[in-house]
Amino acid sequence: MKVIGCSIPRKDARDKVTGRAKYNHDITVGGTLYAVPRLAEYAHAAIKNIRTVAALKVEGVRAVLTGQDTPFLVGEVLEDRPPLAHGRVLYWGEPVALVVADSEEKARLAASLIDIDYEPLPVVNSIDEALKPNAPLIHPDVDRYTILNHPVYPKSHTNIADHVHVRKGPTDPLWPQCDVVIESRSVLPQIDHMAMETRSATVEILPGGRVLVHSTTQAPFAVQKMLAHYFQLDQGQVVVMAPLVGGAFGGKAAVQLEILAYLASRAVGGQMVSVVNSREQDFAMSPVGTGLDAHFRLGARDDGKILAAEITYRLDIGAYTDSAPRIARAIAAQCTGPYAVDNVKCDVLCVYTNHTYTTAFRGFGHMPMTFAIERAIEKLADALKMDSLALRLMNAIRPGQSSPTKARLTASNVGDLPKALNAMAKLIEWNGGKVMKVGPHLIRVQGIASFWKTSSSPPDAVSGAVITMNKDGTVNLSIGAVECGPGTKTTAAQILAEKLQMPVDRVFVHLDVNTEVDPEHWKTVASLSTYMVGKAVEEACKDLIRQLKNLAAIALKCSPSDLAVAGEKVFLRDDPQVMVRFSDIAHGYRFPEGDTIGGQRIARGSFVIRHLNLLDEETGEGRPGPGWTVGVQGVLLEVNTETFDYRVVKAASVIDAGKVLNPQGAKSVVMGGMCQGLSYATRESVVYGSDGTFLNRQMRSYRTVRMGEQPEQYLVEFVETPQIDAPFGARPLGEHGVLAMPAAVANALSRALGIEANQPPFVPESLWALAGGEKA
Amino acid sequence: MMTPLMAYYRPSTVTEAVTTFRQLRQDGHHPAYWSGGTEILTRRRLHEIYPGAVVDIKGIPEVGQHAVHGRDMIFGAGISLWEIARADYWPLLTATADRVADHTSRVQITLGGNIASHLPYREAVLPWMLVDATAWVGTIKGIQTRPFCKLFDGRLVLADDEFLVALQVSRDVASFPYTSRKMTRRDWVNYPLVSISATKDVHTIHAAFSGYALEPFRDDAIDRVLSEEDLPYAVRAERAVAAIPRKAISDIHGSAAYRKFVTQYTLASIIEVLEGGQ
Repeated sequence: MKVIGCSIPRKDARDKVTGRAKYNHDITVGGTLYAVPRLAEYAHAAIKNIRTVAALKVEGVRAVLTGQDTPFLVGEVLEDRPPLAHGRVLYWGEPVALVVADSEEKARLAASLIDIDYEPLPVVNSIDEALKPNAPLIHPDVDRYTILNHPVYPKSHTNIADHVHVRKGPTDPLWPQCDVVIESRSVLPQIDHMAMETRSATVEILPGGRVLVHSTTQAPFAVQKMLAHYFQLDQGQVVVMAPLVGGAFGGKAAVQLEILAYLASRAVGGQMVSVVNSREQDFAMSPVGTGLDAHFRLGARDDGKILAAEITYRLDIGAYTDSAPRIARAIAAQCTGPYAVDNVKCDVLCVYTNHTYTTAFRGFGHMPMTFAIERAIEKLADALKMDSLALRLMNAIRPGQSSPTKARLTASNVGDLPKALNAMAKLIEWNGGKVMKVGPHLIRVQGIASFWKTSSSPPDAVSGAVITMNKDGTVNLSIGAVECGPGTKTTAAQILAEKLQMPVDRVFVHLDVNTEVDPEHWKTVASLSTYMVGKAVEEACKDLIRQLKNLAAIALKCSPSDLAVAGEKVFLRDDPQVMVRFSDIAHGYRFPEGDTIGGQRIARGSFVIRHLNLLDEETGEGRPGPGWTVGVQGVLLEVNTETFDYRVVKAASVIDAGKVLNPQGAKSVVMGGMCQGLSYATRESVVYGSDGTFLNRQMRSYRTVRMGEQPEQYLVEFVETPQIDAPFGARPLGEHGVLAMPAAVANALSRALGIEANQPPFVPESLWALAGGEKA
Repeated sequence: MMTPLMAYYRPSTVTEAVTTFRQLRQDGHHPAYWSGGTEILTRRRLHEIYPGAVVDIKGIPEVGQHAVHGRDMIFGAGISLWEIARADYWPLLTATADRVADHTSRVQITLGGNIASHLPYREAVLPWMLVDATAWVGTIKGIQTRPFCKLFDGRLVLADDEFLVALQVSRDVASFPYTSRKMTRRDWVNYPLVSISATKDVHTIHAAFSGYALEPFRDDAIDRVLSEEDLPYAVRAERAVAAIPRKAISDIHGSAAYRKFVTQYTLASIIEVLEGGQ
C-alpha cells in the first residue's frame, strides 16, 4: 500500500468547498457580549484626556476600558506594547479604549462616542526619519523594558529596537582583490496578510477559574502561555480552542485580540466576550508584515566567484517589536541568500516607526530579504556581463560549505540548488534574459531568482501526536498544529497511514486544536509542521505498532518480533493467514471464552527540535534551523513599452522538496504562494499619509491579485534531494512559493525597460517614473 | 459587521416618497433616499454619514422602468448597473456601466445611485454628458422633466428632497460610433485614474472624463481639439490634455502627472478607434 507520494484530497476539502466548515466566529453563543476598540486617529500623539461618559450612557454598554485600566506591557520577545495605548498613541489605528456591550452595534456606537483629546507629536514616518540624529524617540524607555525571550538588544536613546550582527571571515582586506564591486539598494513597503477571515477572539472566565479562549490563531499554545503569564494563571487553567483558520500567513501567530478579550471579559465578571476585527481594524490595528530597506555591497572575481558581501538590512517594524527580533535573526542567518560567500559582514536593524506594528509574514522576512539579494545578484551579473543563471550556478551553496552563521551544510540538510537552477532553465526555456520583441510596443522578457530558507524556530520547539483506536479498527489522530491552509492535518494522516500501511480514509484527524486535549505543537509557523508533527506521528506510529504487536502476540501465541502490520491486520510474517484484525484488538483482545485483555490502544509520540542554538551576539555564529529548502522561481512578462503596463504570462517554480509527499497538495500550496508573491510584486503595499495615517485600510484600496489577473500559466516542478532526518525525506515547503516571485518580476522588468526596479510594488506608474516619467 | 439601526420606508409613489422624506427631515431623522444602498451602507459603517431613516425609491414604478418606447430609451434610476449591461439597450452605457466596481457590487449599484454618488467617479454619468437627454425628477408635485445638461454640473443639481427618477434619450444616439475606456492603477476592478466615454457624430468627437478631476466633466474646447482631423492622433491627444480646464488629482491611485500621461495615450487610442474606418 502506497500513501506517501499520492495526491490525497485534503481532509478538510469537502467541508470547505461546500461552505460547511466552521471558522472561529461562525458559531456564536447566545448572551455573548461584544468588545469594540476605539482606534487612534493619530500616528503619534499624547493622550490628554479620555471622556467615556457618553459611551457609558449608550443602552447595553457594560464597561469601557482605557489604558489606565491596563497598565502593563506585553510582547513576544520584548515587552514594549500596552494592550491599550497608555499615555501616548504610537501608530494610527492603535487601540485606545475598549467598549463592552450587549451587541456589536451598541459597542460600535459607544466606541464612536468616546471623546479623546490628543496633543499631536512629530511623526516618524519612515526608517530614514527614525534613524536621523535627534529623531523623536518612539520608546524613550526602550532599554528598561523587560525581555521575555532572549535575545534582543535594544539601543538606548535611539529608535533601534534590536541589532543583529553577522561576521564571517575578514571582509575589509578582500575588497581590493575583487575585480567587480557593485552596490544595490532595495526598499520594500509594509504589506498586509489580508487573510479572508479577519482576526477574532472570544474569552470566557468561568467562576471555577478556567479561562476558555476561542481564537483565530496559528499559535494556540503561545496564546495559552501568554495569557497565563500576564494574568498569573496556571497554564492548565487556560484552554485555547483554535478551529480551522481562514488564512493566516503569519498574521495569526501574534497574540493581540486574545488579551483584549480577556481584559473585556474580566471587566464584566468573566462573561463571554468576543472581539471581532472589522476589515479596517484587521488592516490598521492588528500587525502587518515588516517593511525593509536593504543595502548591498558585493565583490566578485571577474570569473563570477563572489568573494565578499557587506549588507545592511533595516526593518520597518512599526511601533512595537512583537516577533521582529526573531525575524531579524532569520534574515541574519540567511543574509547572503543561497550562495557561498566566505566573507560576510551583515547588520540587521529593527527600527521603530509610527507605523502599524509588524509580525511574522509568510516567509518570515525571507521574501523581502530574497528580493534585495536577488536584485544585487542581477546587478552583479550585469556588471560582470555574465548570464545571471550561470552566475547563480557558479556561486550556488553546496554541501561541505557553511552558512553565513557558520552552520555546516551537509548533503542532507541543504537542498540541491544547482539541480533546481538547471531544471528551471529547461522549464521556462531560459534565454539569458534577452528581450524578445512581439509587437509594435510589446516585448517579452524572462526573469529568475533563487531562494533559501530555514525555520528559525526556538531551539526548544516541541511537537506531539496522540493516536487512539476506535473499536472498528479505524484510528484517530490528534496533533497540535492548526489547519490554516497548507493541508497539515492531511499530511499528518498520510504519514500515519503509510507507517501503518492502512487506507488514509480510515484515519480521522482532529481538525480543530484544543490545548486541553491535543498535544502541544510549538506554533503552526515556519513551514515546520510536516517536519515536527511528522516526526511526532512517526514516533506515535512506532508506539502503536509495538502495542498492537504485543497484544496480537498473545492472541496468536507467538513473539511480537514474528509479526508485521498492514491492511488493518497484524499477521505472521511467514504466514499472513495467521492474523488478527485491528478491530479484534483495538479495544483489547477478547478470547473465545469471553475474557479480555489489554484495553484501548492509545499511542503517543513526542518530538523536540535538536542541535539548534541562539546566534552569537557579536558574530551571529549558530545553527538556526534543521535544514534549508532551496528553490528557483521565474517569470515570463509581456511589457508594453509605451504604456508601461505589463502582464505575467508564465510563472514558474522549481523547489527541492526533499520528497513530495502529496503531489497535488504540494503543487497547490506552491501555486498559492506564487500568486501571493506576484500580488506583492505587482500591487500590494500599505500606504501611509504624510501624517502617518494608514490610508488603504480597505480591500477596495489595498489591492491584491483578483480572479482573472493570474498568469496564463503556473509551472511547478520539484527536485527531490532527501533530508535524511525528516519524515520520508520531505523538506519544508509551506511558505516557499512566495519567496522569490517579487525578485523574479523585478529582474524581468529591469531588463525589459533598462531600469533598476528595486522598489515594489511595480505598477505601471512606478515603471513610467523609473523610465523617465514626466521628464521623458 | 453590524451598524446601528435605521428606519426604512418604501413608498410607492413619487409624491409619497417626497412627503415621507420631508416629514422625516422635519422630525430630525436626517433621512436619505435609498436606491441600491451600497454607498449608504459602506459610508455608514465608517461613521461618515448618520442617516436615521432611509426612503427606498425602488418601490416606485417609474424608478424601475427600463425599456425602449418608440424612438426613446428610458432607464429608471433604480435599475442596477448589471441589469443595464445585461439588457444592453445603449452599448455606450453598457460599456461604461459594466466597468463600475465588481460584479457583486454592480448587481446592487443602481444608475441613479451611481450618478448621485458622493465619490468623485460616478462613471455611469459619462454617456449622459455626451447626448441630449431628459431627466425625470421626483418632486413634491410629482414627476417633472428637465434637460439632463441643466441637472448635472459635476454633480446632480437637485433640491434636498428631490431625487432622480429616470433618464430618457433618443434611440438615435445608439447608432453613433463610441468607445469607452477605464484606466486604473493596475487592476481590472478599481477606481479609475481616468475613465473616458467618447462618441463621434459626423465630424465631431465628444469626450467625457471621470476620475481625472474631482468631478466628471466634458468641455467644448477639448472636443474641438480632438476633432481636428488634419492632425495626427498623438498630437491631438497631447493638445487635448493641455486643454483640460481641470486640475488632475494626485492620490493613492496615481499622481497628477501620471494621470495626464495615461489620459494622453488613452485619448490617442480613442481617436484612432473612432476614426478607424476613415
